[in-house]
Amino acid sequence: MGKCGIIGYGASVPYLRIKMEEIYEVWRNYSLDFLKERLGLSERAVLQPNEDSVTLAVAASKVAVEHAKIDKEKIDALFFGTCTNPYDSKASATIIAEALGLSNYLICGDVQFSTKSGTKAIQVCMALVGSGMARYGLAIGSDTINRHACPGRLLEYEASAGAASFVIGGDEPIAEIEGTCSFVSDTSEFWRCEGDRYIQSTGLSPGSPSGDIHPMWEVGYVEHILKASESLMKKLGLKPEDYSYAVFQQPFGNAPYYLMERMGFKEEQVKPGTIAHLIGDCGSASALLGLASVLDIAKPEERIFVASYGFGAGSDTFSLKVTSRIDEKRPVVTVKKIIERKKLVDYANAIRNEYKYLQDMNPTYL
Amino acid sequence: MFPERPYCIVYREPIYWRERKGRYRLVGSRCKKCGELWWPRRVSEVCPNCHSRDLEEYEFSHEGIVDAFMLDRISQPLMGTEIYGRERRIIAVVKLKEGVTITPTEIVDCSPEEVKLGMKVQLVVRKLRRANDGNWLYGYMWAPIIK
Amino acid sequence: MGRKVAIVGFGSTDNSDEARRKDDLKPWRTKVADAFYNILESVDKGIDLKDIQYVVTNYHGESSVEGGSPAELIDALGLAPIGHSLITDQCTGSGTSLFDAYAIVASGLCDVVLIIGWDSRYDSLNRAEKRSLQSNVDFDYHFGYDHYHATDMFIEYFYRWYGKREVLEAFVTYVIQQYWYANRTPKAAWYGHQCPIKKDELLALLDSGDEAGFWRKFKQAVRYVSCDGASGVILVPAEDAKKYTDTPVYIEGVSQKNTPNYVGWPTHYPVKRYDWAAITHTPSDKMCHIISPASWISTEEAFKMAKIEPKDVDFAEVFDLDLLHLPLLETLRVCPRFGAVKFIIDGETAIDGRLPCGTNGGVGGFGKASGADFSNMLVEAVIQLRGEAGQRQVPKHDIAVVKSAGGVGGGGAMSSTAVLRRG
Repeated sequence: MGKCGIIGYGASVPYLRIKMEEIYEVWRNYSLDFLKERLGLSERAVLQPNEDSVTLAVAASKVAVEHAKIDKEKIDALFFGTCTNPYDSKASATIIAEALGLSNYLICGDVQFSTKSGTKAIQVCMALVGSGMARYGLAIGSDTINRHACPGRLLEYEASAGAASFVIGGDEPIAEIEGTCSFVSDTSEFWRCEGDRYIQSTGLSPGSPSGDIHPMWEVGYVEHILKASESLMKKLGLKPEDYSYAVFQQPFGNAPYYLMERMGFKEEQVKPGTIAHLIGDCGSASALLGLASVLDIAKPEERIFVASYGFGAGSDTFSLKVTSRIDEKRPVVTVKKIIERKKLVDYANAIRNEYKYLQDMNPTYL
Repeated sequence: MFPERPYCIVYREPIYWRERKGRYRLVGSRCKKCGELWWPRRVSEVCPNCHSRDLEEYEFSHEGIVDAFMLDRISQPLMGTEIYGRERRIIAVVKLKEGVTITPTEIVDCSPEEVKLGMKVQLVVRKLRRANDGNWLYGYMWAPIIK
Repeated sequence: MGRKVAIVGFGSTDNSDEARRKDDLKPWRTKVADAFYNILESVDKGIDLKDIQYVVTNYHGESSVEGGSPAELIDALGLAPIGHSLITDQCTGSGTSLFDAYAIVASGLCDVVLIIGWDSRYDSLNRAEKRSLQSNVDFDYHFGYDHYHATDMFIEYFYRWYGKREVLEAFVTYVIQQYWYANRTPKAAWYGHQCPIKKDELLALLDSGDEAGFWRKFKQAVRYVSCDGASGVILVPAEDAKKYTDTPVYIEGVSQKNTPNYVGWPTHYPVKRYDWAAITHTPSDKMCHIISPASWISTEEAFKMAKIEPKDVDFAEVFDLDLLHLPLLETLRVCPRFGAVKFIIDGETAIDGRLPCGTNGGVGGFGKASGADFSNMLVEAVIQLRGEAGQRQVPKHDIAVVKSAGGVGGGGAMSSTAVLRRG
């Protein structure tokens, strides 16, 4: 399998935000202490009525393709990773392909693999590029979990939206992908059946040591990431000390910190890639937005460790090595600046924007 | 005596599909003979300048400046219903470097106080509404360029 | 140019409050018939409706492939089996009808032709579905913009040309004048409604910086009435005119021009034969998307055909909704380019001014039924020229200009002009 890496990247996060306090004022069902200290949340994104995972993906991909400085016609593959597709049975990847003006001859697909759909898309593109089936591939992780979070549940405080897009290619990457490893099992602590609007969960288990922060925390999130990263590091012969940065799936701001001690990473490795304390759980874009914010500051020869997780889908891990070409292809607007540009809304507006007030069935208007 | 009707006649509108490139990427027309650019695209495929019918697609630039703007004064009923979930929209006139005016169009990701004449904006693709056949319609709007 | 043409009959529906109370009971066909019978009655020496040989009619139109109400209209007027042309040309449709009807009479093809323009807000085909920006309908109506989103923006450009305070002062002056005229026009929608605002009060609000207060108060006055309605005239060759009336009105010039309906077209429409800025007497730094070349070209042609100069024009009926008359007045060249606002503020469009304008209350004050807009103005011009306008009679009434624009491309993608002379 040939070598491949990231040629360019882009990110997008919705403009509106809501503070934890606003949601708390309405429901008062989890203490602010728990949300802000234990989970590490402050704000999360709110969609505008004209946004969905497709529009976020288009915005992120435009930046990625522009800064990759490649010929658009040479992108032979596009994989759109999302678990919150606006359509149940129609591809959204083609909408993105047309909106970007890519060639019509694409190996194209929607990837739904829970909240690790984005990293799954990267793996698919790696395979296509490495095998020579595609010259460049565009892998997008995009989600609008906030639209599918039931009002009043814990997920509503965390659930956010965002998109990150990566151009994967063989020659002259800005970050080489040294290897990838996945570990999966049928462990559904969250799920959303066909036709359902809201993502449901098994709920917290206050009895267990860390079961009070996330459903099935140990056997879900922790176990899968540990197993996948062990396997990866063994395969590559690397240790946590070899990495300058570690980026994890971030359902809430403190998730990476809870994990870091178990894995042997240090705070200075984990901190740059952690953004959920500002922006909440971005689903498929969660780990990828963290990766993008690390790429914004990484220096050549530094190694990055990425681990994503999806409920019911297990974990994907990647080992990346930054090359000397990174300075040429960084987006002008960093993830930090995108996150900083925001407008706060109140709870009533957030609920209305996310279509959670009951109206007619199957509205034919926006 | 009459043959059985072989199918039901269903009315669908391919107009949304046909015009999607204009909505996603600001694709207009360019006359191959005289070189002039046209926005919106020449649906009739006739160049008004030289009357040639040989036109090709031309993607206009995705950056422009705000030439005029206002808040919409009435939420206009669209298809007989209000546009769901919108506060007063910022309706604007955006000028592109080709000299073309895109109007009326909308400025998003910005509060009304922040909009200034001459402000640089870039094209973003957003949801508009559901089309008659139920599909979502996506199209252009303009967001300020983050420095 | 063939035979000369005269107007011998004229009429319209009644737009006053009293008459419109029964609106729900009157579908558009009834209204058109009402207008028709009003026209017939107005012919001084009488006319047998069976003498009408052709009908040119128009309504606003849905800017779509469907639409059109052919045989229904002829049947509604009881005129079968005569022929008719159906035109849709938005707010200037009846101007287009006039142009066509003129050609039919002047050519000798027919001797008695009826023009009737009409519109109906409710009965027409699925308006909400087809409601569009009236531009490239393949495009803009997807976005959920309405024609008002484009036209509301025009005022921003007027502010830049004339200055904000001047524009608003002219607007206030003009609306007060519209009430003056409408209260002397029994058929007008504003008839019997006193003007609720005073000029100095409103300007004081504006000068003290309370713009929101200004608009709140001003909106009470600017209540344009959009209604169902119809109006029209009967055309005959000039040599036959005296058979029908001792005071015919002759059509000296008529012109109709069309340009694209995409709102922003004047800023970029590279048809090299034409210099749009020069045609509209606009310096290049003022060139913007609300300039209407169609209105300049159509006025010029109509004046040329009638062999008149701006100094010959006694009064004008100009499409005056929402300040659209500012550029249209300037095409008449009675006031200088970019001088329309001063012209109005100085009172030149009032009954004792240089060019009385909107003498039936204007389009908004009389009642706006889009297809009948031009013909309402035409009917008013005829009434004034014949000296039958009563309390609102314009003192000098020999030559009138009727001018309208329709569509939103530029400040009016289509424009019709007619020059009328008292017989």
